[in-house]
Amino acid sequence: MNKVLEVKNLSIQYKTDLETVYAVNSISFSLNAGETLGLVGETGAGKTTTALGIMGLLPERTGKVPSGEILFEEKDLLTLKEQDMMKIRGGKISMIFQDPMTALNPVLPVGKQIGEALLLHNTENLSNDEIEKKVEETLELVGIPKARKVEYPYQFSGGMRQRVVIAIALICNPNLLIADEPTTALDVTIQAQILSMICNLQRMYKTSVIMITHDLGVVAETCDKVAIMYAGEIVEYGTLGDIFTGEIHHPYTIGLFNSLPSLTKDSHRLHPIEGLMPDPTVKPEGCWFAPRCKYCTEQCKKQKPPVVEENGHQVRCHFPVHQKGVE
Amino acid sequence: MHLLIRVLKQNMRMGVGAVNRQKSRTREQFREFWRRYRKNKSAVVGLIILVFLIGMALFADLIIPYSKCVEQVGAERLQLPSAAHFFGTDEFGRDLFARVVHGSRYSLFIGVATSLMALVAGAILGASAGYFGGMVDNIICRIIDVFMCVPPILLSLAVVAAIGTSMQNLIIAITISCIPGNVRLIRSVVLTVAEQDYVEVARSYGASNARIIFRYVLPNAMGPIIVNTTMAISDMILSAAGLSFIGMGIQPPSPEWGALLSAAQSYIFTSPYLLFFPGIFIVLSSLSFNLVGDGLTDALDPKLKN
Repeated sequence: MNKVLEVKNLSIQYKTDLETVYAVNSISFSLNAGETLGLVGETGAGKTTTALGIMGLLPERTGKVPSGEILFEEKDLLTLKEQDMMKIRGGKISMIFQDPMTALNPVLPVGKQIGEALLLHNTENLSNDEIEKKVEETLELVGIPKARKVEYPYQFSGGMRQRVVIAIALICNPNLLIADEPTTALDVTIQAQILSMICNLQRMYKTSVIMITHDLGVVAETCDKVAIMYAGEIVEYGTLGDIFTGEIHHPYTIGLFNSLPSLTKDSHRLHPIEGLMPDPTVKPEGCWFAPRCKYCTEQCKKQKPPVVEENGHQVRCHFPVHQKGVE
Repeated sequence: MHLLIRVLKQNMRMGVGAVNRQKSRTREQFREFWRRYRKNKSAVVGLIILVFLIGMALFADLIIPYSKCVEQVGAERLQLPSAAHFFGTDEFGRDLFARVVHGSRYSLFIGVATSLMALVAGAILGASAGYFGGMVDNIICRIIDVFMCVPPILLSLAVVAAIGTSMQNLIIAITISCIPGNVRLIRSVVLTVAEQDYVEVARSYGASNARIIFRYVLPNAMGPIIVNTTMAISDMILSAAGLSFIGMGIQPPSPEWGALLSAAQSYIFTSPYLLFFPGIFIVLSSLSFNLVGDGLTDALDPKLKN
C-alpha cells in the first residue's frame, strides 16, 4: 500500500521571549491510503499542535519546527512555499475543527462557505453553476437538505453546523482529512451519527483520516492505527488490535483505560491517573511519565526510555507492562 | 483589484439564468433588510429627512435656479422671510433660500466623500495592522499615534494652511483628520474578529490573507464600522462647516452652510434668521445620518436577526 503521510521525528515548539514550550517531541508515524489513525491523549499532549503542524497553520511568530519531516505524497510539507501550501490546504489535506459553533463565518450563507473551498481549488475549471451543484451534492451527502444552502450558520443547530464544517472539509475530495475532536462539542446521539458519516464518506472516497480524540470509544469504533500521546511524545503506537488486545503496553495506556468507568465491574469510584502532566516548558531527565507511574524505578527517573518494538507495536518504556489486553 | 476582476469574470460566466436567480435573491434579502429597518422608528424618520436632503441637493436647480444665489439686489437687503424670499435675504440682497438649497450640494458631498475616503484608508491600514500584527501593527500604530495627538480640527487647519484653501484641499484636510480614529477603531474590531475560529478554518482550506481580510474579517467587523462611518459623515459636515466658518474652507460667494453661518455672524442680533436656517439644515443633516447609521447596524447584522 502506498503511504499518504509519513511524519518523521517531528518536533514542534512554541517560542516566546519568556519561555519555550516543547509541545511535540520527535514523533513519527505513517498513514496509508484509506487508513484511519487515532491520536489519543489528554489535554495538552500535543495532538492539536501535531495537526496544525501538518496543516502548516502554526502561529506564525511563536510556532517553530526545529526538526523533522512531514512527507505528504512524497513531498516534504515543511519545505514548501506558502503559496504551494495554500494549494494543498483544503485541496488535498483538510481539517475538521473541534467547535462547530465558532467554526463558521456568521455573515456568509453556508452554501457560499462550502463553495469557497472549491472555488479556491478549482483545478477542473468548474463554472459557477457547476460549483453550486457540487455544493448541493455535498450538502445532501452530509445529510442537509440542499434548499438550506442559502441559510446562515445561526439558523443551524450544533450538529447541523458540524455537518456543514465536514462538508467544507470534504468538498474537494481531500486525500487526507484531519478531524480534530470532531464530536467533542456534540451530544452522544449526534456523535454516533457524525462518526458513522465520516467513516462512510471515508470508505467512499478512500480518504486517509487522522482522528484526534480523547475518547477511547471513538478510537475503537473508527481507527485502524492508534498513537497514544503523552507530553508531546508518542508513548505507544500500533494497530487497533495491538493497543486493545496486544501483549505489551505502556503504563500510561493502561492508566487511560482504567480511568474509563466500567459497565461490568462493580466499583464505586473512578480510577484517574494521579498527578498532572509535566510542565511543557522544561524537559525533565528520564521518563516523562515517571512521576505518575506506579511502576517507576530509579532508572526511569534518570534515563530516557528506549522504544521497545514487537511486530510494529512500539512502546516507549523501560519496563513495558506485559499483559494481554488493557483491562 | 484582482478580487474585483475575479468577481467580474464570475458574473460573466454565470449566464442569464443565474443572474436572474441572483436578482430575485437580492430582492428577497432587501425585503428582509427593510422589514428589520422599519422596526426602528427613529431610523425611519432619519431616512425620510435624509432622502429629503439628498433630493434637495440633486434637484437644487429645479427648485430654484443657481443665479438666485449670486444675484445681488441692493433694494432687498436683510429682508425678513416672506413669500418672495422664503428664508429672507442676506446683507447683499441675495436670496437665502436659494443659498441654503444649493449649499446642500457642498455640505452633503463633502460629508459623504470625506468619510468614504477615510473609511477606505482606515479599513486598509486598520485591517492590516490588526490582522498581521507585529511589525506592521507597530509601524502603523506609531504613525497614527502621532496624528492622534493633534486635535482633528487643528490638523485639518494645518493641512489647509499648508496646501491652500479650495474645495479639493478642504476634502483632503478633513479626510486626513478623520483617518486616525478610523484606523484605531477598525484595528480593534479586526483584532477580535481575527481571533475567531472561522478565520482559522478559512486558512485551513487555503484562503489567502487578502481573501480572509475582505471576506471573513471585514464583513464581521462591519457593524461598528458602518455606525462609525455614518456618524463620521455628520462629523465631517460639521467640521467642513466649522472650517468654512473660520474662513479656511469653501470661499464666498459659494453657498456652503458653514460659510453662510460665518457670513451671518455679524447680523446675529439684527437678523437672527440668517443663522437660523443654515444652522437648522446642518443639524438636520447631521441628525439624519446619525439615525440612519443606528438603523443600519440593527438591520444589517445577521447575528441579531429575529
